[in-house]
Amino acid sequence: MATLKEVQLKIVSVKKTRQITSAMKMVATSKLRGAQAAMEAFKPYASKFAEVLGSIASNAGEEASPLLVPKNEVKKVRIVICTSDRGLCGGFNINLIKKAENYIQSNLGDKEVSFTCFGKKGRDWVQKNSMALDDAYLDVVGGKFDFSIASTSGQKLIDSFLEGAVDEVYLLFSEFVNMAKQAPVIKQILPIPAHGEEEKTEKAEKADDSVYLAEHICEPSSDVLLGEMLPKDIYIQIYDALLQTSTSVNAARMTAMENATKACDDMVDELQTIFNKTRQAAITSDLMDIVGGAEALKG
Amino acid sequence: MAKNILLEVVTPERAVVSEEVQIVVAPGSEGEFGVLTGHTTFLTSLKEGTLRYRDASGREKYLFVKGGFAEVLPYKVTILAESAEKRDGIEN
Repeated sequence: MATLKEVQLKIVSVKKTRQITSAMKMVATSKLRGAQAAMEAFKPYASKFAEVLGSIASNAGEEASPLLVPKNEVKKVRIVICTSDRGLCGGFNINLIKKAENYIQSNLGDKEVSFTCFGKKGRDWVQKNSMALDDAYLDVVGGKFDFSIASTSGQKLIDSFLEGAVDEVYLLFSEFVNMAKQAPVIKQILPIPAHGEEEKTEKAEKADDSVYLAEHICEPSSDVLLGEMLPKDIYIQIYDALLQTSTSVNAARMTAMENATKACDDMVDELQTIFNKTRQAAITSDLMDIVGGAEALKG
Repeated sequence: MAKNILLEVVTPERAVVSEEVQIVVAPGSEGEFGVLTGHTTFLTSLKEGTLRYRDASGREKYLFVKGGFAEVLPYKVTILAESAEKRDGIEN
């Protein structure tokens, strides 16, 4: 059985850990609020953009932009992977990386895969497995960033796609479903996938509801406009992915730290019980000694 | 007097302006254009430049916009810009 002193030291150390985890929880909570606000602020832009893009895309042909045309032979694939810079957020990064591994194994087995990484954890994983790393952006996810990071990295991806350095680009990020759920999602961003039938009908209904007129006078022509808007659509998707991942990582960290704090509390309780028992045992044995001594003196 | 038109300027980071204005003058890629209420529907890309508008009380205001599009509807102008700064925002 541990001595009284040992138990006491252990209690102190667990309490200190608890202080750290609860502080980290509070930091994550406040960062989460910031990330959620950024996500909210982005919504009007994204939805308006999608609306305008949808209305000109439906009028324009597939040939309007090289970004829409799938390559005949897909050999080289780029995956853009968004992870956090730091750990202590539960299975967050592991889940994302597992998703990447599974996807590569089942869909891209024979292809040349390279990576663009947002976040240190993803980069470390790529390097550890000696896979091709094209670009890494650190200190983005989970902190403050603006649209320019998405447009710079997006432009780079578009350039390599047009040059033929990559044939397909996928974006892997963590979708923020709600506070308790963040799901890793992978989607193709280049070539821009054709709009599904589902989306079209949805748009048609929308057009009926509002007074929105699809036939704009376009200046320059709608094809030129579409050509200008499509790259922006890529930036928007990347920015959205970054925002969602940032929100997710902070939510995940908050949950993880809350659990850790609770675990600390439980541990302190347990240790306190052990401490009391040990103390009681010590007192009992002391008493036994005294009583035993007194009995012996009586003779 | 003519009715006012609603001007909305949104960037990915925030909504910069959302108010009723008398007139909007924007730097279109094919030339500067002005919009009053009742304008025909119209979509154009914007150059980097100054967006001018006169608010409901008749004051002239300026915005610097970059990398954007303008969508004009008879009752509303929406500017989607990568960044938009008010004049005092730049000076400070």
